[in-house]
Amino acid sequence: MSGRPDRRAAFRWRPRSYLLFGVGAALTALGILLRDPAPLLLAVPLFLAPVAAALLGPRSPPLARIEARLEGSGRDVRYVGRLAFEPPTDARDVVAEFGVPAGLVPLAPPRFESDAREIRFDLTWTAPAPVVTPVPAPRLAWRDPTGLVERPVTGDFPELLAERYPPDLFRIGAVRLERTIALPGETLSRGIGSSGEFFGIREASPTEPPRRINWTASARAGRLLANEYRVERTGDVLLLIDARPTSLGPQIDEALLSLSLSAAYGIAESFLREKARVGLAVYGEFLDAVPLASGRTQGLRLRQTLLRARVTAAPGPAERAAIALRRYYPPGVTTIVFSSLADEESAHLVPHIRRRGFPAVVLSPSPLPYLSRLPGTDDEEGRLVVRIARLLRRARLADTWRDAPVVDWEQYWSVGGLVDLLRRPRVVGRGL
Amino acid sequence: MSEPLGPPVRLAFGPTVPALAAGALSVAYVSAIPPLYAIVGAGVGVGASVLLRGARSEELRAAFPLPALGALSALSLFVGVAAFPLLLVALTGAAYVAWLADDPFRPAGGLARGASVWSVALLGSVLAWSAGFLLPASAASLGVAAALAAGSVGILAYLVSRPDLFDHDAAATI
Repeated sequence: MSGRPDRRAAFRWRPRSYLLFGVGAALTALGILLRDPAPLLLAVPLFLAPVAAALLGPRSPPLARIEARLEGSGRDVRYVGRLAFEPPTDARDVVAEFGVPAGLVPLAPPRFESDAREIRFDLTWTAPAPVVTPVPAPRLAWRDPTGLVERPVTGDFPELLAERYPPDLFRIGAVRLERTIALPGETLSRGIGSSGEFFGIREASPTEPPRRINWTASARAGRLLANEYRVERTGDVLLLIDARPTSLGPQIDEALLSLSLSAAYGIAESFLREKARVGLAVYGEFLDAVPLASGRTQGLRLRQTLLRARVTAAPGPAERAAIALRRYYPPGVTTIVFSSLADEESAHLVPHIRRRGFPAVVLSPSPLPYLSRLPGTDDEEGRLVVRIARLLRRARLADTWRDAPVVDWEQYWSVGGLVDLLRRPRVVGRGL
Repeated sequence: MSEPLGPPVRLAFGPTVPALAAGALSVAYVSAIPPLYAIVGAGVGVGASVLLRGARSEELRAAFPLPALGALSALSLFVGVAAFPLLLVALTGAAYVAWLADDPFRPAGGLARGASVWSVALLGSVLAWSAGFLLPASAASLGVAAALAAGSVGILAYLVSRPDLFDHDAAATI
């Protein structure tokens, strides 16, 4: 490690400074060559201004105190917050550049208000399709009012996640899942909560709901006591995302994977809320697995795995996924497979995992809406191509139905088909 | 990256535009170029810069300092050696720096906040002018002037290549 600071993270001359220095140097040379003092006199302020801006500004990266949050409902995402600075840094000299998160599009021009102490921002985006995407931290830089020098601003931005998934997924957690542990129904979770089997009595808090108060025990003790329960675990579900490249091309593959990730995120949230164990496996060339578990920490693990999932460069064979799944998950766990079923190789995944003992339900994001938006599909020939693609997809879905129920996910803001399918008796778990 | 939408072109006419225009036209008037051509050239240079500064296109806006600076530089080559014209040149240079601070795409009050920068430039210009014309002078050789200029350029090159010199302490490089 050298003691020299990283230039990219420290003070920076802006192009305008180089312009002034360059013109100043040219004028100096011309003044000497022509023996004329006028260019020299014009060069003096051009030389002095950048150096003065560098010396009179903050000598170390200013520190920003940052408050930001995501609001909005439906498809709209509103990003509001404030950036506060301590004197002598004037907030009006801080330039903030906000990036648009992947998968969102700006809905309205960003609004900024600033005074000497803080910058308030209000940005509104909308999600054309379901998406789970991190909100990038804005690039903050102190820039002198003449725009000659720049210095980055430091501060800890909260890690925010814009999550917009089909609203049907809020109720998917109510689906009764199969358990894959020994003696199902007799193994209780170690968690203590507000529902499940009776566990004990404790002092009631002032905000305790009346239903949880043990009135008999309270009357005996002379003070309010509340019941505690063992949290009941509802069952297990495995989310398997096919992140292998297909014949659709990288752009459509990425778009379909983004849809799958958003749906997986919504399903995981919903089941974790119901205290079910949720596992996640992303299969590209190899399997990236998060074992079955429940709780808030599991939610964070799933979130990190979902956020780092990308379409891989090389596809792994379907059988490898099925073999690897058996290393991490017990057979019989209800498996929701997210796959576009765009080609034969992706369609092979379902029979393989079924043969290894995983009862599967396939949620297949349809590429047809993306195909019909491609250039050249407006004319008659293009429409014919889309129609053939639709017929091929229908045939592939029908083939896959022999091994597992398939939900054709073409209306991206609704997964009612999947919820209804999972609610049917004998569809989930070993009964499939 | 998103930025606040720009103001209309008329907002690019900040309070420093008259000062810059007056300076450029004055330098044009006192220069050796025929007044009509000189004034038209100065007007075109300053006008183009002001219009470019109000442009909504970022690419166009990035070029706004060039026309005015080009016009001033060209005019300064034709200004005779006399106290008042040279004072005009020095003041116009400082006015140009002040005009840079008056950015319509940034929060209002840039001229006041950037006062420390343009006042240093103004002070330096006035000192240079007064050193040339008010102090007792002797016939300085061109060699001494060239050595001073070369030294200045050397120091400048060193400063430009070492921006970390302006850091008070080591920056966080996480």
